Parts: sequence; C-alpha cells; structure tokens
Amino acid sequence: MIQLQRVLHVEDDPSIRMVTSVALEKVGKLQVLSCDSGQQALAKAVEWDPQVLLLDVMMPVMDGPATLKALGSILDLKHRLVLFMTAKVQQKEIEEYLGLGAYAVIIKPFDPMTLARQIQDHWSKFQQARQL
Amino acid sequence: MKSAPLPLNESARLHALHRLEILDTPPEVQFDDLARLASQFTECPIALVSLIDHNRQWFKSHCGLKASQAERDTAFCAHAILEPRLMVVEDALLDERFADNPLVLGEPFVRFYAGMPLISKEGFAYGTLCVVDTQPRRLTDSQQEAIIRLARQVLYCMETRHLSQQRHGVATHLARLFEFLPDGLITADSHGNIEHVNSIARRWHGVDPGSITRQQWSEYFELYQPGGKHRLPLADNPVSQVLRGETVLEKELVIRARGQPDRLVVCNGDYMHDATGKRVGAVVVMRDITSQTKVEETARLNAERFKRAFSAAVQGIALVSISGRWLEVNDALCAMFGYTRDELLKLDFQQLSHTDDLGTDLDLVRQTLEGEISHYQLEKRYFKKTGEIVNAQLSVSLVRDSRGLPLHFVTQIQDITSLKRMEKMKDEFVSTISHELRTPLTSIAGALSLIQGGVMGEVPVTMQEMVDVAAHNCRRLSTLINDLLDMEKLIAGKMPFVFADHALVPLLDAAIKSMQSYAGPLAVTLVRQGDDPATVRVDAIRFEQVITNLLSNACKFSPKNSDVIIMHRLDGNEVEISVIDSGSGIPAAFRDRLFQKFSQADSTSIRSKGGTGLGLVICKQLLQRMGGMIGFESNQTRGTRFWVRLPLQ
Repeated sequence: MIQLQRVLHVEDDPSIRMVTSVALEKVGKLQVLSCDSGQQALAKAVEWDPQVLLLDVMMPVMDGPATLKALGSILDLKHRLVLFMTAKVQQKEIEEYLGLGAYAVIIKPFDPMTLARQIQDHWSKFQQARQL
Repeated sequence: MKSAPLPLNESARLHALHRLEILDTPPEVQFDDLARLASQFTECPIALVSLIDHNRQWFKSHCGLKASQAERDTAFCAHAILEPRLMVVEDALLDERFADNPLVLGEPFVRFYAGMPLISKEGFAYGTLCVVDTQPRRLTDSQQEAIIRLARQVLYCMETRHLSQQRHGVATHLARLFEFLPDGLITADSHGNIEHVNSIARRWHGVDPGSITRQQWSEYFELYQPGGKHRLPLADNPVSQVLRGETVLEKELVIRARGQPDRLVVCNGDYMHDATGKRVGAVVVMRDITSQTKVEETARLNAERFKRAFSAAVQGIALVSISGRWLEVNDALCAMFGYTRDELLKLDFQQLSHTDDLGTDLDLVRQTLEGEISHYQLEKRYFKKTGEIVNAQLSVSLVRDSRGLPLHFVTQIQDITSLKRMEKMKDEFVSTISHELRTPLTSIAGALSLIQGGVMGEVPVTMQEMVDVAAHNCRRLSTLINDLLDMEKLIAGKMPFVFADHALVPLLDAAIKSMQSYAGPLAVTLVRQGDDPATVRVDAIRFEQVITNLLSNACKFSPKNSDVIIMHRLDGNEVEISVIDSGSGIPAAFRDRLFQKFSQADSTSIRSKGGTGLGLVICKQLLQRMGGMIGFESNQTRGTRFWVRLPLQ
C-alpha cells in the first residue's frame, strides 16, 4: 500500500481553493498543488507527479472533464486516483462522470474536516482494487 | 241385402274425389246434357251422374229423379265402381244383390240398371254415369257402347272443370301476390300501355297511372331525378327504357305525389317474355329508399362537418394506421412538418421521429394495441422536411371497431419547440443560479467548519458564539437554496424519482440515525416504536427527506428532555407512520395554511427556530408523487402528531 502524499487540485474559485488547501494540508497532512484552471494544471502536472487528481467540474474555458482528458495525454492516469468535485448530485450525472474516467465524485458543499479522510478512503480502495 | 264392399283404394279414392271440389256444387249444363243423352239413347227415364262419397251417393246430374243424393248402402253405383266395366242389371228382382233392396221393393221401384264407372287416370272410381228403369230391360250393344262413351265424356268434363278451377285458383293467387307485394310493381304491354299497377305503386303515385291518360298524370304526381330538382324526362321513365330494350338497374328517381313528401325509389326493370321468347311487355319493381338515404345523408353531413373541423383545427391532428402510416393529416400538421399533404401521406411516423424518442413511442403504441393502456401522451422530437427538429407534445388514442379490433390511431401533435426553448433557458438559468449561490456558500461553510474544528488555532470563548451563529445561518441558507431548487424541480415535474420496494423499518431507522446529531444538542430523544414488517414502493432518498423533515420539525418544537416518537401501524392496505412530539401544538390560526408555501406563522419565536416554511409543502408534494398522503393532529396539551400514509406492497 503506497502512502498518499501528493494531490493536484484544480478549481477556479479562489475561496474554495483556500479552504480545500487548509482542509487537505492542515487537517489531512497532505501536500497539495492548487491550480486555478485546466491550463495551469497542464503546465505543472508532470513535474508535480500527483497521486490524486481532485478536479472541479464546473470551470470556465476548460471544465473538469476536458481537463481530465488533456491531462490524460501527458500523464499516465492508470495509477492515479481521479476525483471530480461537483454540486450536481443526480445519479445520471454521477454515472456520466464515472464513465469519463473518474473513480468517485465528491459532493459540494463538502465538510473540510472530513475531506482528507474521504480521499484517503478512496485511495485505499483504489489501491486494493488495482492489486487484485 | 248386402251393401257393396268398399274398393281397395277407398280412402285415396275419396281423397281424389274431394280434391275435385265437385260435390255439392250446382248443376252444370255439360253434365246435364250428357245425362240427358244417355237417357234418350237408352230410352231409360232416369239417368244420373252419380258420385260415391263416404256415406252417400251424390248426383251432379239427376235427370228424371227429384232427389239429388241418396244413401250409399242401397246404391247400385257402389257396386258398379268395384269393376272397371259397365255393370248391367237387367232385372233387379232376379239379382240376389238387389232383390231385397228398398229402392227395388219401394220408391222408385228400380228394376233395370246400367252404370259405367267414371275412373280417373290414377285409377280412382269417382262414381258412375248410369241409367235406370222401372221395368226389366235389355240394352243393345250400341246402347251399351253409348253409355261407355258418354261416361268417358262425363269424366272428361269433370277433369276439365277441375283443371280450369285450379288454373283459376293459381291466377287468383298470383294476382293477389302482385297486388300486395311490399314493393311497387308496374307492368306494361309491349305498346307501352300500363297494364297493372299494384297497391303500393298506386299509393306512391296517389293514383293508378294505368287508369288515366298520360296527360293527366301531372295532376297527381311528377317524376324527378334524384335530388328532386330536375324533372325526369319521359324518355328516362323506367317503363319506357325497358320497352326500348334497355335493362333498368338500380335506377333512382323521385316520385313527388300530391299531398305526400318526396319519395326516393330505386327501380329495377326488364322485359317479360312469352313461351316462344317473344317480348310481351315490361315489368318494373320499385323500392322506397327515402329513409335509407336520409340516414346516409346524415352520415355524409356529419362526415363533412368532421372533415371541416379536422382541416381547420389549429393543432396538428392526424389519423395514423396501425402500422404507422399517415392516413389523414390536417393543414396544421403539414405546416408543422413542412410537407405537403400528398408527401406526408406517403410516409409513416417512424420516418419522421427522432431515433432517441422512437423506442419509447413504439413501446407505448404496442401497449395501446394490446389494450394495456387506452391512450398515452409523450414529449418527443420529429424531423421537419428541412431536417430541423420540432419538439412536440404527442397525444395518441386508439379507435377500435365494433368487435374491438384496432382500426387506427387518432393523434394530436402540438408544437412545443418555443416552449421547450424557454424551458431550456430557464433550466440553464436555474442551474447557473444554483451553482453561483452554492459556490460561495461552500466556501463560507467550509471556512467556518475549519475554524470551529480548531484547525486554524484555538477559538477564543468570546468568539465561539459568533462563529456558531455564522455557521448556523450558513446552514440555513444552504437549506433554503436546496428547498427552493427542490420546489422548482417539483413544479417543473423534473424531479426524477427512482421507485423501488423497500422495507419500511430500515428506512425509518436510517432517517432517525441521520437526525441524531441534530436531536442530541436539543436534548431530544428519538424513539422508534412498532415492529410490524411493511413494504412500501418509494424513492428511498425522497422518502428519507420527508421523514427527516418531520423529525427535524418535531425536534425543533419539542421541550428539552422529551421524546419524539416515530411509530407505524398497518391499516388495511396502507401503512400509517406517525411522528409525535410533546410540544405546545400548532396554533389554531396556522393550521389551515400548514401545507402552503412560505406560511410559517408570523411569530419571531418560530422564525428563530429556523426553517424556510417550504419543508412541509415539499413533503406533501413528494408524498403525492409516491402515492401517499400527509396530515396532522395537534393539541396544545398533548402535542402534535404528523402522520404519513402510504399504500402497502
């Protein structure tokens, strides 16, 4: 079981970026690279080599799914955990996101006190599934 | 004296005699002449045409004798008919058969008898032609021959008479038939003179046309073409047509007789031939079809009216065959799809339907044909001739024939493209708003949560209360936005429900569990009672939403350290779930408006307890979607019980 350390977070809203960073770094003791757009993420992802990609869905210019697709062409996503973050909770939409390659969906508004734990849970399940 | 034995064929003989219908008829000259001749030729004073009936002999002719009948027992003729030859008794006193016969010993003192039986072709002896004398006699050969021949003539007369009567009977019967036939019948001779007009035809014309001249006809009736506007030319009179050599077949004309309404008749006519095939006249039969035509006319008018309504309707209407072909389309539909009527009638609806919607439509068609449903409505898309998409609201019903077999569909198609566009805009607007509102809320709630969690450092006691106030109201805002969006979805009918059968108790337990963290700080204990297993068909998430809403209200309005009871009981084919609190009850003024939007009582105490006033409205709507009902009982002393009823599965 590989320990989770590095998270790439892509989110256009600065406040949510700040809250998420605090939640993951201070509460979750993880290392987080925050990007404000898909383009910024593309520039920095390879060097950061994240284990978890936490992508907001609703973003201007490049939305979550588009960002994922673009990252997929510069990173090998097989061993990386992909999570979408969204306020849309309808079953149909969740299935769509999973179909696009996300492992799970984090629902907004999220509880910053438990966000890190949520991501850790997904990470261990993700690891277990790949080892089978 | 011995009576004559009965002939072997007596009953058939009697039957044949009676069939002649000659007994007890008046004398006829041909028989009297023949009897007279017999009497004269044999020089016997008495000559009889005697017919042997069951118990008597009856004389068609009795020349020289007053009586017109006599007993059979004593009849000489009864003996004569036993043999098919002339019976001669030269001296009755010397004949043991007749020696003691009262007719011999007494009046008329018969001594001589000669009788020739009258025998029909079938061998029935009707009776005799006989001559009788009061003294013994002997006949010469030529006299005997004379009687035989005359007897033959009598027979001939009898048979001719019978035939003539029969013919007369048939003729009478036929004439009666002609006269009283329930259709009109007219015959004419080969010169065109009307011969017979039966009773019905006379009634229809108001006169017997054969009894008046052609010029006089118009005093009683006129003949018109169907429609009653144009006179029928004389040459087109059915009788004239037949006599010209034309066969008249289903020819309609109107008889307008004085004092009668117009009568529409259909005529059939043809020649009458004699035995050699020569044409001897014309016969025309007429049937009154006035009322039949009225019915047809009414039907035609109704069809016309419908057709006009169909054409002029603003909505697209179509008749569609069972296989999907457009059978009839109105102008509005053609305009909607951009095809002409002819073009559209060559197509079927499958060709015009959007592929994504076709499956659902065809499934509903199948259900309708099989009788599972009688009609359906569907929102679907069609392609116009240009390829553009039309959003339409489709309503379909099936027309069946009198045996219940499917005939065709009647469909109404309403163009809702602009409606749909508006809806799309509104959806996008709502989606944007919800995102725009939720984003900052997420940040506020998140930041406060981190602060409250001590992540940013210890929160000074003086600050804690303020932070709590901010967090609490943040949650209120979030709930408000969710409620508003839920309400909007419910109104638009857009809230998707996933129905499934669920065991009730686990659902209630889940709702209770999710409310523990809310109830705890209020010092309220949630207690579940009742263990009857029950299954309900609901959307689990929405059902939980209802229960948690009721629990949250109950907790809010409960005094500290009290219980909120959640119980359920089975009632017939329903289950009733109750959420009971021991609070101060719902104010009377408020009770009527409880399930209306934004109707929280105007009391600061209630407002401070939170809630948007939308909760119960949404609960009611959600329950209605799930086939359930909601209500309450409230009392200042005993508290409040909200109940939810659902059908059991």
